[in-house]
Amino acid sequence: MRKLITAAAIAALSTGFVAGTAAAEQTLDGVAAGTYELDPTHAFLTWTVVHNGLSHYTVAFTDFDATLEFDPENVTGSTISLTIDPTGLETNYPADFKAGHPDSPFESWNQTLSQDERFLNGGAFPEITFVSTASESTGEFTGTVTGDLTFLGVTKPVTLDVTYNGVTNLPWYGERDVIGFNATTTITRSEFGMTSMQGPISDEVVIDFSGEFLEAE
Amino acid sequence: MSIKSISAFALSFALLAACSAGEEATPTSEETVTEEVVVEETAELPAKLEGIAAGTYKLDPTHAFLFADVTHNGISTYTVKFTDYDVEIGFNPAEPGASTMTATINPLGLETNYPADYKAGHADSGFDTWNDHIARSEGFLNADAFPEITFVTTSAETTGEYTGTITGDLSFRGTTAPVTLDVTMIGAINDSAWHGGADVLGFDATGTLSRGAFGSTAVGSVSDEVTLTFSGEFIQDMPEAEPAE
Repeated sequence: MRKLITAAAIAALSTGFVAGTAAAEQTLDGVAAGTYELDPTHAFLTWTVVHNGLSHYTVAFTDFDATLEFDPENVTGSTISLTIDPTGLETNYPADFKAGHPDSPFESWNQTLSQDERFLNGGAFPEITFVSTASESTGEFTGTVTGDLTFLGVTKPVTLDVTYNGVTNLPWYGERDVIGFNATTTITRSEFGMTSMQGPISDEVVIDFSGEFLEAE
Repeated sequence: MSIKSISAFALSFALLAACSAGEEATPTSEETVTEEVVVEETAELPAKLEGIAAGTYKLDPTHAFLFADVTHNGISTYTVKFTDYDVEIGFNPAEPGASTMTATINPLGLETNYPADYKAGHADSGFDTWNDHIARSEGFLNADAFPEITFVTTSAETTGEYTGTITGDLSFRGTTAPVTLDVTMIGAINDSAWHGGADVLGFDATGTLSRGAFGSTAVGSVSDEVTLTFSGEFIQDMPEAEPAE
């Protein structure tokens, strides 16, 4: 709860600025401890591989949820859990998939990635989860979060590099704080059993996240 | 696919150079000196560019990603993905600094990530979806008034073996202003069987612009600075007349 900032945001509104940028601050002072839920309309989670040694191919997840237990006084005591539905994803395939893949049992390229056994195999493994187990500070607003990633039925530890971007307050959320983070990590997909198309598709996968969390009521 | 005549040309220069190297005592004609310079350039071609043809390359739209990132409310990076655009490049491996690129983006073709009921949350909006709102509202891409975003190269330079910059005129929302992109060649495939023998090039590019400079100033919760990020593949445009390998 940050009454001063809220007041500033309202003042900014009344002078014609939309609340936001001016009111945001990269500080942990005064940020409420407690449960925060992901704001799904301000969250991006991508999976990027190198394709044919030529380009970075980016899959955007569109259906995921995260709950953060945040303690600004003891940041490394914070925890997060994340659930991803592998059937919710977007690439960019502006072509006729069926014409180019007449033998495919799938209707679209996105469906192929999410359902095909060679890729995310969403039918057999309908959830990807990450549950934090430990975290460390590496700077005033940066740290690492290690957790168990469960993907394709395999659970392995993964460490994310995390940046806390700051806090803001918005008139329509009253005194509930909104905090934002970026996170990134690299996983090796074969370690989770995804051994398909090694060569044309890199074994290393870069995971990027940026999103906002709203203090629970 | 490298054009055979060019390969033969390079080979003859290489032979000439070998002869010249073995005949140091022989007075060198002006012609030979000129040829030797060409040989040096060929020999210094970075490994990834060996055999790669000069010419026009067209975007493979199924292996291309173009993002515009802004900072939202100062606390997160908000990513808009363009889904309908075309890019053509003119590339000469012997002179990458002379490369050209033209791009055309349809601002109506974009994706964000809005897994919520847009109409319920924006009852007064004249738009049906959040993507439509971004594409068409006056404060954002204003696509009804300006149905095309274009980029046309004005200059380029190399900064390393596989890196360089491309500066061009970006026309967006009725304003044309220069934007510079940092470009990295990730890789190249010579005579790609998958592409019918065409050469294929892959690049990353990134640059920033001030959306205010293009008249998009209305929305204070969105940063003025926009980061453009591209990664994609380009397939050699092979005229049918070209002789088969």
